[in-house]
Amino acid sequence: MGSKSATERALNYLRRAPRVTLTDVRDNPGARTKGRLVRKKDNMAGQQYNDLRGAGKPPLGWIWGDFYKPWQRIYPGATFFNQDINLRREYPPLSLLELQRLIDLGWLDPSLPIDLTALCNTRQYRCDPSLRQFGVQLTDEGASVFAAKVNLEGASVFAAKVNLEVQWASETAIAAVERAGGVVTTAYYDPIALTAAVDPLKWFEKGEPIPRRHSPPADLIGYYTDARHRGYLASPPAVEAARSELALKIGYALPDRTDDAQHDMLAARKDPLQVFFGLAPGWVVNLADQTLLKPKNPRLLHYYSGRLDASKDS
Amino acid sequence: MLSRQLLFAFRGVQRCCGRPISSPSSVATFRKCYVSSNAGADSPSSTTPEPVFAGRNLWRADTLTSFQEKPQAWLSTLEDKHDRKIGLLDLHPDVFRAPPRLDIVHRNIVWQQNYRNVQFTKTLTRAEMPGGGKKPWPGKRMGRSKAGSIRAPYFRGGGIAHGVRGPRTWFYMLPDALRLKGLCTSLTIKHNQDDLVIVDSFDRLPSPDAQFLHDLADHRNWGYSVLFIDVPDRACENLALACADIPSFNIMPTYGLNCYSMHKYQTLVMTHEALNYLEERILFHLHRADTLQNKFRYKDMKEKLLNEGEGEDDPVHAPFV
Repeated sequence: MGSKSATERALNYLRRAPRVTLTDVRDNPGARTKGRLVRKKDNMAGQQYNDLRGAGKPPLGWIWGDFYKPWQRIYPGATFFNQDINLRREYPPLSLLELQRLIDLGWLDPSLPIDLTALCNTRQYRCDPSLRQFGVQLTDEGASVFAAKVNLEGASVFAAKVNLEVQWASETAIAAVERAGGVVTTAYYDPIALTAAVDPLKWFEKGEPIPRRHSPPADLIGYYTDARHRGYLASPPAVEAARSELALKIGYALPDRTDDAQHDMLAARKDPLQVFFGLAPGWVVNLADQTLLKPKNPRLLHYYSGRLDASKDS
Repeated sequence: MLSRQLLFAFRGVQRCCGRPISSPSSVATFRKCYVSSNAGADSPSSTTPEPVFAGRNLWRADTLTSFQEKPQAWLSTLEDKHDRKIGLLDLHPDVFRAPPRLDIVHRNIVWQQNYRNVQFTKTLTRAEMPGGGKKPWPGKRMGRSKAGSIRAPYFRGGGIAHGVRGPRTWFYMLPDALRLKGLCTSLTIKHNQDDLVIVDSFDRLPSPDAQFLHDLADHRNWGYSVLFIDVPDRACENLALACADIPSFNIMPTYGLNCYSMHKYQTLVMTHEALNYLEERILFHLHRADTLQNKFRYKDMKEKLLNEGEGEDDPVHAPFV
């Protein structure tokens, strides 16, 4: 009796009990509480014409003195440290363990590229641009288990080759993914493009054109042009060289990329201006009619092409 | 390449985790696997259908645990009053062996009874009554009680002080999670107390005779009231004619399944197709990524509600509310 779970014991009891009818169901004890009734003592309590009644009352936090100086207003704000607290960027972390868990449980499909949009669609990962969060930070916790995907019956074990696009990645995390045969790219999304990427449905329902991604700010250009971080602005030969270098540094054999079935998927990269795979910036997605509206105006085309020359009118 | 890219794009558009990935079903070793999920769908009523012992695909069910009994149900047929079993079905434990939360069922039943209530009555206060602006008689010297207005509440024909005030609704939406749990609990209780009957199909009922259905129910020890559940909302002819003559036997489509009906009716008779449909839908919602706690705002539904009676104007009859 004690070894069975509560559910099993409850169901065994119900099996022997009479049929459950509409009158046999009720709330758990303590679920609802009666509201407080207004009692005679709850009105002005004899203070209708008190001297203090019409006077100014001290604010919350008042510690005896000026009404304008409660405790929370006495001390000035931090001016010698954390001055740029509101300007700092956050990258909510995603560990390799979590990523593996999402793949194993069927939230993510490793046969398609995994970018910020795919992660946010699972609703298991959250990135909020309004909180100065700039994207996914790949951490190396779980690097040792990342290569394996095991079926429920324990039958087959194969490497998770993923095409990952994140915003920040540690060296060991990159190594773990590449060792398993996958690909990592770090890409910058400016806040407006990030808002679209994080919740595409909400963006499309607004009826606004897909934004174009702008280049990273000055302090991040160095990060995203560096092949060691697999930056999206680094040149592909430099990225290849960095791959081999990392393999030598950490000490693993780079898997050969002769598997043609997944080659196309692993080679898929977004254009530096592109937010969604298969959709170009400037297009308007009409969900109601399931159509795409593309701009024709040359000025718009020039803007969304990202060309730097000033020939807007051509 | 472009088509694959479009595929990547539209996956990004999907809000919730879509079609779940199915895992291979575990077929019991002592059962033989016979043909087909639709037992008796194409064979004529004169021949006996093949018994169905194939294991059902229980999506993401914990089949390895030994701490939970695996719920199963007989599959019978309505051809004859004798209860001939034509199969044994595995049921999903998340739906048919869920914790019996009677308090959640209570909340569902209370919600079902109250959320549709609309009060159309309104009593008038002293300010809304006609007249009553003038002091009817001076306060002193009259020998009468003081009066300020002939429509004060203490006057005959005066306004009502704390009366029923205007159109009011008790509308609220119970969170999706609670409604799902309520359905699962009610199905669990029905199955556990032997009040759930699964039948291959309702169109195998041989005659529209109400007496036949009554005898069948009597022979099989069904309760006084029986609820037949099928997927489409057009009922089979024989069943509809038979149930029309028996007040306590009613038919309902799967989209009308609710906790109140499941506990009002003593027996629940479901088709195999309805069982598959219900399990699939309930499991989809139990496992979806979106929040199960939605805000229901009037302004989102306003246009739909105001246009509800659009095509229902009849030149002769008054609208039925």
